[in-house]
Amino acid sequence: MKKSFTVTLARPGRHLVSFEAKALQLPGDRGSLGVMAGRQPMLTVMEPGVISILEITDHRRLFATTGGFCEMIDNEATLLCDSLITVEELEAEEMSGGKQEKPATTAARNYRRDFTKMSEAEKRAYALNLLRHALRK
Amino acid sequence: MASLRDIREKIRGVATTQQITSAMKMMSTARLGRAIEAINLTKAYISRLEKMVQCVKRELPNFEHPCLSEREVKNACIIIIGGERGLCGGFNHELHRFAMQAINDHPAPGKKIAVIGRKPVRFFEQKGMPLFASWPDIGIKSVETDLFPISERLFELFIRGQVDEISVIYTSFISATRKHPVISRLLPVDTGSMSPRSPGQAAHTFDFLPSPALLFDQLMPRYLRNLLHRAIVESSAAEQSARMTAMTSATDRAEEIIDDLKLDLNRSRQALITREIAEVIAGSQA
Repeated sequence: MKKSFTVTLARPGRHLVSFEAKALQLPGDRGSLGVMAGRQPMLTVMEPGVISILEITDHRRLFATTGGFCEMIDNEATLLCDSLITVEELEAEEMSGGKQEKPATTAARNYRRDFTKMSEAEKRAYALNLLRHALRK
Repeated sequence: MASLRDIREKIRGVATTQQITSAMKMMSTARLGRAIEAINLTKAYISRLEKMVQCVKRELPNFEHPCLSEREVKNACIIIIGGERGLCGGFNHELHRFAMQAINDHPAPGKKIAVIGRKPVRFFEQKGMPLFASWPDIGIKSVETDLFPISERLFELFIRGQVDEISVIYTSFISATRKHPVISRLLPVDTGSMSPRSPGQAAHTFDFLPSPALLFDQLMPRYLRNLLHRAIVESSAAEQSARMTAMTSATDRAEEIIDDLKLDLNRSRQALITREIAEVIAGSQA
C-alpha cells in the first residue's frame, strides 16, 4: 500500500499548491482530524484553525485557515480553503508590523465556540492565534 | 481657411488627447493581463468546488436539497454585473440592452433585480426600475471580502423560498476579441450537466462529516460566492478588453487627425508663402 498521498491546497484567487504527504491534520467540525494514505473517501467541513502537513521528507508545514472543505478520494486530498495564511505570510506581517491582528474575542476563545457567529476577521484572528501557538511548540 | 496658429493649437490638443488614450490603452492592457490571470485562478478553484458538489450528487443519487431540486419559478432574482467606468466602446450599452431583453423575456411573474457595478446601477436608476439591491462599488479588487454578505443574503433568500431561481447576467470573456453578454443560472444547481458514475467507475463508501445536508448548507454559499466571483472577474476582463480596443481605435484615429491637420497646416503655410511671393512680384511690377 502506498505510504504517501497528495495534498492540494486551493484558495480563491491564488495558485494551487500541492505536496506529497505522509500525514495531514486538519480542523474538522468535531475537532482535529488526522488523515493518512489509503484513507476511506471522505468529504468534510473545515473550521477555522491550523492545517498541518507532514511531508514525505518529514518536513512539517503549517497553515492557518478560516474554514473550507476537504475531500479525500483515490489517495488525493483536496483542501478548499476560504483563506489560507502561511507561516511566511504571518512572519512577514508581524515583522512589518503594519497589520496587527486583533486579539481573539471571547467568542473565539470559547471552547464551545460557534463559528457561525464569528465574522471573517474574528475567524482569521482565531486561526492566526492557533498558528502562533503551534509554532511555539 | 483656419489660421496657422489655430491649426497648430488643434494639433497640440489632439496630440494631448492621443497621449491620454495611449496611456489608457496601456493601463487597460496591464489590467486585462491581471484579470485573465484571475479568471484562470478562479476557474481552477471553482472546478474543484464543482467536483465536490458532483461528488455528493454522484455518491448520494437520492439526496435532496433545495439547491439541487427544480421548483416552479414564481420569483426570480436576476443579478446584473456591469462595468465600473465608461470609455469602453459599446461594452456597457450592449450589456444593458441584453439585460433589458433578458428581464422582459424571463418567464417568472415576480422579478427581483440586483445590480453590481456603477454603470448598470446608474442605468437602471435612470430607467426608473425598482432595484432589489445594488452594490455599485463591488469590483475585481474588493471581491473576496465584499462578496461574503452578498452571497449569504442571496442564499438565505433562496433557502427561505423568497426566490425560486437566481440568475446572473454578465459579459462572458472568451478572448481579447471575443466577448458577449450571457445569462447563467446559479441556483438551483443544474444537475443535468453533472456526470453520473460511469459503469466502470468504482463505487466509494464516502464519509460525510457532518451529514450531507449540513455539509451542503455550508458548501452552497461558497459555491454561489465563487460563481459570482467568476462572473465579476470575467466581466472585468471583458470591460478592460473593450476599453483596450476602444483606446486603440481612439489612438489610431487621433494619429489620422494629426496627419490630416499637418497636411492642412502645410497647405495653409504654402498658400501663405505663395500669396506673399505673388504680392512681392505684383509690387515689383507695379
